[in-house]
Amino acid sequence: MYIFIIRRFLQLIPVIIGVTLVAFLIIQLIPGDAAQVMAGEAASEEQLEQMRENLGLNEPLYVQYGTFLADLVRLDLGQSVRTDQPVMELVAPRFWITLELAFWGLVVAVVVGLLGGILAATKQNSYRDLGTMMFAVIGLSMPNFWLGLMLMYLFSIELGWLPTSGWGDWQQIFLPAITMGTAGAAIIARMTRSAMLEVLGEDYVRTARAKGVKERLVIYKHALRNALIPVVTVIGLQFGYFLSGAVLTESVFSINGLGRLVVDAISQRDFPVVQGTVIVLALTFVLTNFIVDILYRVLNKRIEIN
Amino acid sequence: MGSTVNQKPAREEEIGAPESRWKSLFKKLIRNKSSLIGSCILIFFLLVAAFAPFLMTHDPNSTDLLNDFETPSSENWFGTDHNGRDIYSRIVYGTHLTLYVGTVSVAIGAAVGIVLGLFAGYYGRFVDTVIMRVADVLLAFPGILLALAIVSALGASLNNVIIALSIYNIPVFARIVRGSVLEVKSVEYIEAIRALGAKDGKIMFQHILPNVSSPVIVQASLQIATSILSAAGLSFLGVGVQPPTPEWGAMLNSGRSYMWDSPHLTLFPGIALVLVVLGFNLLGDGLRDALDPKSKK
Amino acid sequence: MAATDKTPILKVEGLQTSFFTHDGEVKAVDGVDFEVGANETLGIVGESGSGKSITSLSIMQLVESPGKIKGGSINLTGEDLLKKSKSQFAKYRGNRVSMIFQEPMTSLNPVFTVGHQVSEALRIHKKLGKKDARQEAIRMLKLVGIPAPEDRAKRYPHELSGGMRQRVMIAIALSCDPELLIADEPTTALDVTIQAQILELIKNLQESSGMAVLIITHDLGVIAETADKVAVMYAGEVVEQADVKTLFKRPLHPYTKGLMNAIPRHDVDMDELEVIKGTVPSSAEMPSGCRFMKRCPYASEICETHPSLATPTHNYGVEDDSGAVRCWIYTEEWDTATKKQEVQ
Repeated sequence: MYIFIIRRFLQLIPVIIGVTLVAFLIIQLIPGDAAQVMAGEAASEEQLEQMRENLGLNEPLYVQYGTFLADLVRLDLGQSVRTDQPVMELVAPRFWITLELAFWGLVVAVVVGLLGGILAATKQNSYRDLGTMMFAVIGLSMPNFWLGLMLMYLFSIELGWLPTSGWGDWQQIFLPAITMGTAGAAIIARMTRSAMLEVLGEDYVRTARAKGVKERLVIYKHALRNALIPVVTVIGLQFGYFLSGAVLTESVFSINGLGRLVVDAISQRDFPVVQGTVIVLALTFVLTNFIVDILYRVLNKRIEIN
Repeated sequence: MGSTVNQKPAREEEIGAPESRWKSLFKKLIRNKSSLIGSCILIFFLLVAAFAPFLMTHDPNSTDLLNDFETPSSENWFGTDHNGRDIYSRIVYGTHLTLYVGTVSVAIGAAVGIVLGLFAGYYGRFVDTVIMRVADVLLAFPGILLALAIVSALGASLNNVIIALSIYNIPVFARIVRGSVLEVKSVEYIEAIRALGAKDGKIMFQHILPNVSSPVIVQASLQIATSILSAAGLSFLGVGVQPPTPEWGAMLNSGRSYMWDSPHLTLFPGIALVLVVLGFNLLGDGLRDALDPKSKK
Repeated sequence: MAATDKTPILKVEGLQTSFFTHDGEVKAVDGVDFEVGANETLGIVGESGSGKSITSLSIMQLVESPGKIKGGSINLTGEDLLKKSKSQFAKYRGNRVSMIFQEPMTSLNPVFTVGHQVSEALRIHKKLGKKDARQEAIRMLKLVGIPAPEDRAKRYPHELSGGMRQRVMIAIALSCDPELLIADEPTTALDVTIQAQILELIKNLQESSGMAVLIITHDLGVIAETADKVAVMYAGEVVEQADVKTLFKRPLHPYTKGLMNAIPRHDVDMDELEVIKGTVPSSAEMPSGCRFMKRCPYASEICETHPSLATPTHNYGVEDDSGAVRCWIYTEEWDTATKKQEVQ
């Protein structure tokens, strides 16, 4: 087991380095003079030179990347070219907001997804099954930002039940969480359904029935426990996707998280902030996947059949 | 007993006779409800895109500030937007953009991804390690984050959105193709051809590629759906296709400011978007059911 | 042989179970009758597709959709189980009637410990508390011959061998002291040496508890070793029924004879193993007459009419004549028909 974790971690290192490289290259990808783009048309030659100096753009690429990495190891993500604030200071508080948002989205996704999947699987090919799966595929096909706008219109503007925007109050959680969780719920429901169907056909489910176990317990105890094993992986992966989904959801509901930070930074051509945010989101994603992988392994090990 | 006997012809069918395979696939698709509905939706939108000039009731870009924020009426079926433009005509006109962004970015991403996946799976070892590590890195950026980063650097335009989404699609296809190649590579038939001295390129593209096509086709359909959503998301954030282009995501972006009084500005482009994406998702699901030997029942 | 009680533990009459598929109704079990008394073992033998497993699942009411029990009665000590409501029958299943299955490798739930799975039925039916159920489960594990039962109870199924798992299955089935045990191919998936042990175990447990046992198998060897009575099933019907000794001495139905010839024998010098040609007909091509007709070497005109299960006209040198056979050969009609032919 420890060997597995170490091996898996070693595999992680090139990915992490790759992520930093991609983030680093964002500035290099800017067509023309990056300093000009960031400083704007009106900048004087002196200002441009200052900008280049600050960002180290005059150095050779490998030196720039080396500095970038060295700073990163010291948790220094550079400075905003707009406000001169350290990017780390901008990112850290918003990171928690995004994480919290992703968490509530995940809660919605897991609760709705599991229930939907179980309801569908326990009555295969019924209207209940068909309806649930239809909902799921529509949920998957819906742009979450649009869903957010529609929910906002219905519940905030028309009915006035919930606030349209912001973050902090408990009422402000619902709409963003549903917005974020819908696609995930759809994916989890589909996954749960197929896992449940597979498990419900297993011999041990028949054994449970033959023992006289009540049908509800057959489903929620004997079958679900087994079906959950693959579903857990999907749930874990969802969390990472929620981090990116947050970009759009935060924009819709004016939540001051990482997503809004990166979008604002893009529109202000504040590339160090873009780089910093992208790195933080990607690394969080990579780390969650790493943890999910190990969890799955632990869950599976105990019950491995062969 | 029965199952082992039955499996053999299925394998041969997969490798040996491409015509009958397409025919049986077509039959299965027609019988499969989700692929049938999905195809119908997509054909509808293809027709809309193709005959857009005949279907539009107004010039999609002509502004009419005297008639802004009109609610749906017989004159403006989906109402008018903040510049008094006819929303119905703009949606009709924007259809081809949506289909174009989705299919082209997947086509490019799939083409590159398939080649890389074939190389990685076929040659293994160093080639495999390098290609798959790069794919891992690209996949480490969840959802639209990679596209967002690329577009932010390249600048907001339709072509840059396509470039960004193509790059986003490459590792997805590379991974799938590599996995399938590993499965197929050791089949006796391929080994026999190799023993006969066939060239690597010929083996990869003529013999292996057709056998890994099923998952690629399924994924392509689902990936177009995702790419359309991502493109719309980028436009919505203001880093994609720019107004006044009647792109659906951009229409949603400009409409959101008027949510309080005129929700129809965001309602209709959103519905159109959901329907197109639903079409590709249903088609993809149907294809998977029809092509996946595991779910033959 | 133990004395058989007058009222049988299990009496199945006219059982019909069908699967309603897209292509129409498939009659998996089509009018099956048999009975098993206390301390008695009935073996049901047949090829796959003969309906023997569906018969056993029907008794447990575990037939899965699109399958449905269409008619007949299943009496357990005089009570018709098919007339019970779902919740009423729940009190019987796993308690008074229990079952063990063919695949011990997959019949135990991988995420629960063995002890938990054995104690589950006890907690449901005997309303035992957690601790008592656990004690009782360990006692059951010991009873079925599992060494170090306290330790094994804490194990997960994948840590046990196939033979051990089947013993666990037996422990589960017998935990509530059932009147009827159904064993569906209990040894098919096991090694030959373990097979004998498991059959021996079932036999011993039966002797001490006096339960009725219904053993479903395709293997006449298992029948010879365990059963008191045999029912041979073919295409959803019982085609021959007899005392086990009688059946082996004097198989009547051409199908039974075929099955017998399919067993390799060391005492008889045979040039070639005789196997019955063809397969069980599918529901679409089910003949309206005798269902075995297409594969039968003796098929004749009269076989176009469906024969009924009846006592044979002659007893063919066997004292006991309680057996029955579904074949025209052993009827007076056959005798007259052949005589007519001779005259012509």
